[in-house]
Amino acid sequence: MDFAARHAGFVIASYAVAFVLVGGLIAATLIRYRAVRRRLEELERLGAPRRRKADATATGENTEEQPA
Amino acid sequence: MFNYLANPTRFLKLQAAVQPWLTAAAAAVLAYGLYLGIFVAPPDYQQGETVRIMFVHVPASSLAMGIYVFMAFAHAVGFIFRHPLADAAAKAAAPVGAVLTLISLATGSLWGKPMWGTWWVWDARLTSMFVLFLLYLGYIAVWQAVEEPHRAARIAGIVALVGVINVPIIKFSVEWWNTLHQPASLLKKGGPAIDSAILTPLLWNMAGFALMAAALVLLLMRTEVLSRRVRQMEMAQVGRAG
Repeated sequence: MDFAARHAGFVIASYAVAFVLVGGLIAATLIRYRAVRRRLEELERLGAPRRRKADATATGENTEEQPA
Repeated sequence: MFNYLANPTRFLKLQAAVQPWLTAAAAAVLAYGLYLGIFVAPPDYQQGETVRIMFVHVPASSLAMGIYVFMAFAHAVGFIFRHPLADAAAKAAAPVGAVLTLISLATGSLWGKPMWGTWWVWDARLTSMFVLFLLYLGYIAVWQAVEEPHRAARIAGIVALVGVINVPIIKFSVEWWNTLHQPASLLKKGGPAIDSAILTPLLWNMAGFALMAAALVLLLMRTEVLSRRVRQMEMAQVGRAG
């Protein structure tokens, strides 16, 4: 690419916008994932029951209820 | 396959195995595609260097539409088969689709200024793409506003299924109306009207964007499954305390 070309600024701006937006999405995804995982670990440490039987049935899961 | 993945625990196991490979493939293909697009592809005889904007704009636009169709399909599966992960898949895909739509609008505008002499016109293609962005925002807003997941899924499903009508309008807007936006040059009768020197980097970037979107959606689905588990545990804990 010729960075001194006539409309190079528009090209650079386009890639910059895409990088910032995709980077922001990746960062937000990772931050949310880590927060949810931390909360889950915290609840498991506190001994919260894994799930109620009704919830397990509703979500189609066949996982047995964890001991508190 | 649908039934196999109906169990969230099984999905989490499969996702954990696939995620690193998918992420690595996305990074590699996207890096190669961008290298081809920025350093190897020649400038266009009419557009000059601005043709390089197409290597971001076209993949973002096509995926923005494709992801919305995926969301509508996932909700249809959720409504018909009561698949427990279908609405989670649609919910996970929404922010990825919204960001890609925004990239499509922004890069289209940045291409429009030097090529058309204007940042924006309210022609059928640009307007219908803007409507898609609003649909994504509305869809995300429903999930944020309605606390109970099953109810949120039903309302969001209606938004997705009604809104999907906009996708063929976007696709065919350049044929049905007289628009400033050029007609299709990739998916058209008689094959693509693009030289292979431009087409090859474009296809690599499309593959890279698709892999990246798939990797993000998978991780967001995992987050959604775990956050539902958190919600169930919190409710069970409250129930136990009460």
